[in-house]
Formats: sequence, structure tokens, C-alpha cells
Amino acid sequence: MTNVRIGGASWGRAAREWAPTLIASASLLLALGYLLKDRQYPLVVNGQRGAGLYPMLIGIFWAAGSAACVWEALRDRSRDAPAGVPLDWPDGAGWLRTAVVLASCAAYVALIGELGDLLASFLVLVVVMRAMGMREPVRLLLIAAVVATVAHLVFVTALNVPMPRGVLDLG
Amino acid sequence: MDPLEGLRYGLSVAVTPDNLLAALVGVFLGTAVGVLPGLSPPVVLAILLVPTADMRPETALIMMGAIYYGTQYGDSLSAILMGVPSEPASVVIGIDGFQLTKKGKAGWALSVAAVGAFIGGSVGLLCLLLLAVPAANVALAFGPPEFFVLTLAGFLVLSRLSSASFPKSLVSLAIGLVLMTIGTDPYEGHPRFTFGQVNLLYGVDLVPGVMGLVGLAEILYMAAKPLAIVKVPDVAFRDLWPPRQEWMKAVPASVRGAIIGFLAGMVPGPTTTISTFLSYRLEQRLSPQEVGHGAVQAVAGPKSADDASISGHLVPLLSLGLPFTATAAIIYASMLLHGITPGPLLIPQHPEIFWGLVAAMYIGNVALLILNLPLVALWTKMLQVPQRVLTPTLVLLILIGAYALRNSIFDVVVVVFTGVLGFVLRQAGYDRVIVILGMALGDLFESSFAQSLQMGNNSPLIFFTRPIPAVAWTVLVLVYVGPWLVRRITRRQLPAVPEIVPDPSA
Repeated sequence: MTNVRIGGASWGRAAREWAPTLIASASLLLALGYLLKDRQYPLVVNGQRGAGLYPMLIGIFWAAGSAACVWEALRDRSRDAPAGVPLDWPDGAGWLRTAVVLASCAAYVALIGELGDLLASFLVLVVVMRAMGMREPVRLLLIAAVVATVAHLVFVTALNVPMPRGVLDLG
Repeated sequence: MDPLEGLRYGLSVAVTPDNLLAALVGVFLGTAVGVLPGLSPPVVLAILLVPTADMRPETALIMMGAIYYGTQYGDSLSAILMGVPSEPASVVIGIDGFQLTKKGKAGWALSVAAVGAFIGGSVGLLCLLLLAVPAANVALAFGPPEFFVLTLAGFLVLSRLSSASFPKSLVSLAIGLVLMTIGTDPYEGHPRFTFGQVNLLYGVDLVPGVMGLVGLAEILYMAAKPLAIVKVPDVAFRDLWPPRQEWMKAVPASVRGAIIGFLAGMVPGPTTTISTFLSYRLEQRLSPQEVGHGAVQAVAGPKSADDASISGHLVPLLSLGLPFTATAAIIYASMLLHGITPGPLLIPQHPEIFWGLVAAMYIGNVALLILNLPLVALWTKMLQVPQRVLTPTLVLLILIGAYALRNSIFDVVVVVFTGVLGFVLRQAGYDRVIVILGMALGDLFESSFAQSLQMGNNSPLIFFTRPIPAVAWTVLVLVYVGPWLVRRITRRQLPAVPEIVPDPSA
């Protein structure tokens, strides 16, 4: 996170400080949700273990571990180097690049059926290369086209993977 | 089949043109991708899993084994030449390796690392040959309670040894196990946690899960924190061979490292890393004046331990069906992909797979030695690939690879979901290896739990009263209480151990 100062505090520091607590709390909530959902399944059927018994034990284990993580995160919050938390926290630009990579993955899932693998691959490459800092447009388009074509040849032609053909109808 | 006869049979399976080619291509691909900065061996295996999906099972496993060896060597290259290891196991290889590079002796470091890897691989495979069959024979007598308690013990030992805090390790394990409860209940056929999604009825498949948790998560991290390109020195072929007195130090260190690596590799946990540190510490004790300043034995020993631990990981995987490291879990996933279930029945039911794999690992080991030193100039060029080209290419490979598994967009969705999960866990300091092992062993864990309860008339006492579970519980108690007791007893008796810190002036 960039160190944008608001009200005397920096977002980067605050986010890094609270992230372990938030993640552990989210894990605890998910574990409780999982246990709640598990109540729909029987614990015992005809005197034998039912579909819900094993998930219930795992869910309790998950919730207990998460509660311990929340406690650990709160205990360590004010320390400079909380136990087990990596110090290599990305900056604002880093988070943005990660978001772009994820968005391009989501776009690939959404578009591959319509566009086909070659065009969808080309788009992913262009977007991610740009996000990673490649400036020259000709070089960017050329590398994206070459890599997408090589990937298509390897998977579709050499390994016979039936990738979606899409608008270009290349199979 | 005795080990020698088995090895002969394995060689007859492995030495076919297809399989030899698979071994050579595997070593080449593994090194080429493994040398790329930021890509650790599990990530490379996860990315390269897909091209092996359509091969014959033995050819695919031969290729996976060769990729594994190649990747391990590739990672050492970046540690030696740039001082930037991609995984913790290569950290100590890089300490003296990078010192040698700074002194203009990078070729020596690369040669002793290659020979150390060969010795480690050879000794490890020999031990695997001798131990895997007896271990599998013992495991044939195991029933569901034994498997349940051994798996649980493995998980708990792993959590104790993990770099993450203990509560985080438990949460990581729970997440892996929870992911595997999604889908149809194996006994009643009752859909669980599917939220009405037809795709989820079959559960979360291990392979896309691993590709996301290890592969995509690491790529997201590379996007978040790209590595700067470091100038890599050119290494001429004529500079590769160190003088005889250096070999006299490197070879015994490799043998010592191999034994440490194999023994440590059989224990659940990040034992590859531990074995390389142990080997380094041993060399430091033996040559305190040299190690830390660019000593060949401090490169050869840990590198040998690194490769020998691969065979150590294979003992519980092949004989018990219990993968206790991320790379073993990926090989496990690869076996499942080909309809083979590792475990005590693997050797009697699929001798061609077991012996073929052992022979092929050896072929991969030899191929590594033959191929890698002459191609050292190529590997140094690979280190210069800019991240703005590498990251997008890897994103694409993982997306296409996920689709190619079963021609299913759902698998791509699983990769993206588990990729985000892996990235969040990584940033928060949770151990993704434990998540993967929870996923890999989740089904076995649940089925052995259910069968044990049935055997014991629904009494949990069955997990404590049989001899093998009782031994496993005792070991667990020792692992958890032992270090605390030893610390209490020896607090004032042990001398301080020097830290592993390279000499900054060198």
C-alpha cells in the first residue's frame, strides 16, 4: 500500500497492521458459516456416521484455529514484525498489478468461449504485459502475438487439446 | 521381487526411446523453467503438470521425476549466480555459492552443485530401493484406524515443524480438509456444500487446486513484487572444472549431505530445507575457517541433501500413499490423474510404475549431469528474462493448462479461486503446503475415519487401543513435548551455536 496519510495515519501501515486480524476474523466467520451450513446434513443415520459428522469435526477444528489466529493477530498487532507475517508487503502499484492479473484471468474465463483461445490469450497477454510495465506498443503486440500463437500451437496442434475455437474458428 | 531384480525390471520399463526422451525433455524443461527467478520447484511442477496428462502413466511419471530434478538444479543456479533463491531449501546453497561467484569461481560452484546433486540423487535412490518395499509390506497390514492416525500424526508433526505459527498451521490444514468435503458424500451419496452447483457435485479436484494454490498464487505475488534483473556473470565451459583438491572436499561433503537429506526427507514437514541447513551446519563445524567464505563443500553438501531428500519424500508417498511435501503432493496428483493410487498396493498392482519410476529417477539424475553443465551458458541467459514478459506468459500457461486438464472452464475457475486463496494465505503468513496436503489426503482421511468408526462400533477408542496408533500417539507427544523438555533440561548446558551468516567482507 502507498503511504497515503489521512488523519495522521498511513493507509499502508494501517492495512498491514490490521490485515492479519481481518484475515483471521474472515476465516473465523467462514468457519462458523461452514458449521451452520453443516447443520443441514445428518450427523447420524441408522446408528452410523452421517454425512454431516466429519465436516462438523473439521469445522470445529477450523473455528478453534481461526479464533486462536484472531487472538494471536490482536496480540501481535502493535509489533513491528508480527510472528509469521511476511515483511514483503506490496506497495500500491503492486496491488494494482495483482488486481489487473486477476481481472484478466476473470476476463479469460468469461471470454474464451466467445473469442476462442487464441484471441483470449492475446488479450490476457497484452493487458498483463502492459500492467507489468511494457511501454513500447509495437513490441508489446508482437510479443503477445508470438507467445499466444506458440501456446496455441503447443496445446492445440501438438497436444491435441480441444480449446474453444471462437470467432477465428481456429482449431 | 528383490531390489536388484526390481531395478533391472524398472530399467527395462524406463529404457525405451519414449521414456528416455521424456527424461531428457523433463530435465531440460525443469531446469529451463526452474532457473527463472521466483519460480520454486512446486510452482514449476504445478505449471508443467498438464503437458504430461495425456502421456502413458509411466512416461508421465518419468517426466515428472525428471522435471523435479531439473527444477531443483535450476533453482540452485539462480541461488549461486544471483544470490536469489526461489525456495528456502536453496538459501544455504546460495550462501557459499554466491561467494564463489563473486570471486569469479561460479563455474566451480555450478560443477560441484551438479555432482553433489548426482551423488545425492544416487544415494537417495539406493536408500529408496532398499526401504520402500519393506515399508510397503509393513503398510499392507495397516487398516483404516492406522491410516487415520498416521495421517493425523503426519499433519500434526508438519504443523509443528511449519514456518507458520501453530494456529495458522491448524487453520491451513482445516482449509485443505474443508475444500475436500465439498461434493458428494462418499458413503451416503448426499451432496454437501455444493450450493446447487452441478460442477461442485464431483468436488474440488486436487490438480487445479494445486495449480492455483502454488502456481497462480506465486504468479500473483510476482506481479505484486516483481524481481529486478540482476547482472549475471558469463560462465565459460573451460572454467567449470575445479582443481582436484576442491573435489576432495566436495565429494565427501556430498555423501554426508546425501545421508542427511534422505533421512530428513522421510519426515513430514519442510525437511528439504531443514536437511540443507543441517548439511551446511555440519560442513561449518568441520571447516569453520572456510565455510561462509566460498567453500565448495558448503555448496556440494547442501545440494546433495536437497536432491537426496526427493527420494526420502517418495518413501511415504509410494509405500503408504502419504505425500508430506508440496512436491510429493503434486506427484501424488499426477498419479491420480493417471488413475494410479499410491500406497501399499502400488508395488504389487503396478510394479511397472514403481520400478519404472525408480529407474527413471536415476536416468533423470544422469541426464541432469550430462545435460546441465554443457548448457550452462543457456541457463545464464534464461536468468535474464524480464518479468514483464515472464509473468504474462506464466499467467497464460496456467490458464490454458487448467483448461486442458479436462477441457473444462470450471477447472479454470477453481485455479483462479484457489490462486486468490493461496495469495491471501501467503501474504498473511499461512502455510500453503499444509493446505495442499490437507487437500491431497482429505478423502483418505475422511474414508479411514468413517471405516474406523464402523470397525469400532462407533467408538473412538479404536484410534487409541491398536498398537500402531498407540506408537503414533507416543511419537506425537514426544514431538510436541520433547523439545520443551530438552530445552528445560539442557538450557544451561549447551554452548551457543554460531549463526549461519556469510562473511560480508568476502
